Amino acid sequence: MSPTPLLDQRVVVVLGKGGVGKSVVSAALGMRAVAAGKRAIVAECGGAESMATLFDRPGVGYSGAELSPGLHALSITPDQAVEEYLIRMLKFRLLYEVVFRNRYVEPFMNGVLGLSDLISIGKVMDLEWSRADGTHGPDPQGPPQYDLVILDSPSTGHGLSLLRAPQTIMDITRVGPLHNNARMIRDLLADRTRVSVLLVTLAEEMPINETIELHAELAEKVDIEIAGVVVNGVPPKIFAQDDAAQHWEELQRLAEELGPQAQRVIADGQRGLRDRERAEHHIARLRESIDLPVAELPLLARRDLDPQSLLDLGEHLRWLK
Amino acid sequence: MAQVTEQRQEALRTAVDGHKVVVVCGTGGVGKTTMSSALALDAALRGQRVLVMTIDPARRLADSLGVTGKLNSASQIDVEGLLGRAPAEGGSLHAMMLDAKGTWDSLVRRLIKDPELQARVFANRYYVRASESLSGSQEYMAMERLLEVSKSPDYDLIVLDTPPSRNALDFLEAPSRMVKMLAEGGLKWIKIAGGGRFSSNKAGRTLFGKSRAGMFSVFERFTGGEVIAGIAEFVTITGEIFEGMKVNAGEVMDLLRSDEATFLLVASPNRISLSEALYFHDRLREATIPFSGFVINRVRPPREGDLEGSREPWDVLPSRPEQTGWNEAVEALWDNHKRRVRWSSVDQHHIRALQQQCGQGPFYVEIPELEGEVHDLQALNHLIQYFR
Repeated sequence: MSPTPLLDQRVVVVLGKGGVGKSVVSAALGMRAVAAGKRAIVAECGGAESMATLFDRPGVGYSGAELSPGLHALSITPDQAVEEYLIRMLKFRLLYEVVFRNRYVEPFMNGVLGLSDLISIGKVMDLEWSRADGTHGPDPQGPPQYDLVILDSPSTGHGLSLLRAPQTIMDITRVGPLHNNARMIRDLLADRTRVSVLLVTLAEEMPINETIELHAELAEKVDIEIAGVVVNGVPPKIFAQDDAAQHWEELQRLAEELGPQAQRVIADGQRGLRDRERAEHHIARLRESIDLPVAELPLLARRDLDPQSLLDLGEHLRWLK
Repeated sequence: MAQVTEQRQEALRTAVDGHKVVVVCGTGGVGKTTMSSALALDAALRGQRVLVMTIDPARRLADSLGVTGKLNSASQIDVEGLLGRAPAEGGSLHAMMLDAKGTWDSLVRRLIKDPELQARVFANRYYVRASESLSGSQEYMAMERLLEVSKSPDYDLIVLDTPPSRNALDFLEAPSRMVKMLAEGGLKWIKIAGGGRFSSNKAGRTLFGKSRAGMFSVFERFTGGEVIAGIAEFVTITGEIFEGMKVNAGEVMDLLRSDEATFLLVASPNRISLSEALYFHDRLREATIPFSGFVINRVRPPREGDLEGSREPWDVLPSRPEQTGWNEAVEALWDNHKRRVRWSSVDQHHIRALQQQCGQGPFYVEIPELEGEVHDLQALNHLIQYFR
């Protein structure tokens, strides 16, 4: 079975180490989906509000907001997600208040049992289960509320434990409603026609090493499709054609005679070529180590990532299967 | 202009020299570990006895410092051997790599003497979970070690590289939250569970009432009974550890809020990272935590005197339309040059925005983006020049 193209997936989990640009990639993917006529939502965890920052607006909160036409975002806070989930499960708010808001029970449920991780990933899956008519459930009937759900996940360690939470809870509980819910979430994550992971990294030594490790760990510990790797912030190639590159030696020699301004332009060229060479070296290592499609996003020079530049970045992701 | 920058940058060393404990905070991927190590090396070279404590460091950095695999204890780094340059008299550099699980395990070994009970703790799945991933666990462990070394007369300065966090206060609050939960909550948990279905103790059941037993039966229906029994066992056998933890957390808080400590924030010069740094800064101020300033890492330095956008490439480099590819090469170089000038102006724009928001109080030190990555003592030594 050939994999579902990225934009035709229902859920894409954007995963990678801190500072590599997961939020930018999530936003770019969302903009790209919207341009393809889809309704998309980006979910962040732990109360993060990077989407709101990127679109220069106040936080979207747990209830979410539309950032640009067709592109929505919400910020999942574990407490609110747990409350919403348990009230739905227990049917009565009073029971929830008495049993789970209990100051002795709640910390153990969240901290020791890891319920908040399960419920956070569960909330994302709930978005997948939401239909346009306001109903929700795992049986796909009627048009969905969102065509594409993008999880801008927490950095490596926590992101991985989010994806592992359903299995962890299943192992601990063995029976009961919580166990059944965990299984539903795990089964959806494992559905290769609907859910996949997109790894994000930078073309630098440590981020590439960590991505290779993350890929191995993910493949071993979580039953989930991995769609590809996005290498963010790749320095651009300077000479597009070989007949331009052949003059490089001569230009460097000439700059000595032409004075400081020309030398500055040449020095920038030298630095740019070295940066590009290093990046290519690390991307080659990535391709050797991981048998997955790799998409390169160029390092942008714009002051702010406006909707158009996010859409431009999204173009680079379109071919990812 | 140059002078202003110099004064600002001197502030970084002043902040470090004036304190016994420097806490380095920031979100993931901004270079906290690199900056902590460079600050520590700088102080050591200037004659201080310095310890840098870091959690889950980049392996290459640990390798190059010669401290790979030596977890949870301080080892001295052979600065002269690795750098070819001896620290000023009295100076020495020590590093400690922290490992959350290892610290929990050693706490268990220290506080629980009975080997059979020890084995039960290590086998309890909630213990395994808590020691690996319980929120606050890493932070608690860092604080425990910090308290221990801060009492040692062996160091003039301790640089603490904190776990990545969205909120600087997490680092301060997570340990006490965790300890409170484990100590108080745990005790109640045993009593409640013990007074309910998990005890044959009828007196206990009467004492704690039916409502709580009923509460647990709802809980049990939801999670299955094994969960409650497992957690009850976890808190029963680890109770002593949590009692010991409670005392320390308060002490560390006192130390970190005292004149002996200060906090630095490391950030990258982009919109998301700086908006997170601003958030950090505001929370620290609200909580009246001593804060010195920002270290903005990997900045593309300002390019004063560069060409204005209105100029043509041909003003600077000759046009040779007769040579195939020559003019294309010049135009490509020109585009590259303009791009790099623009990158640096973007960085400066973001840094100025942060300065406007946070005012003159904190310092703002910019560390330029270096070529390649910083994984060894030589590269750290190279970074130090920007602290001056």
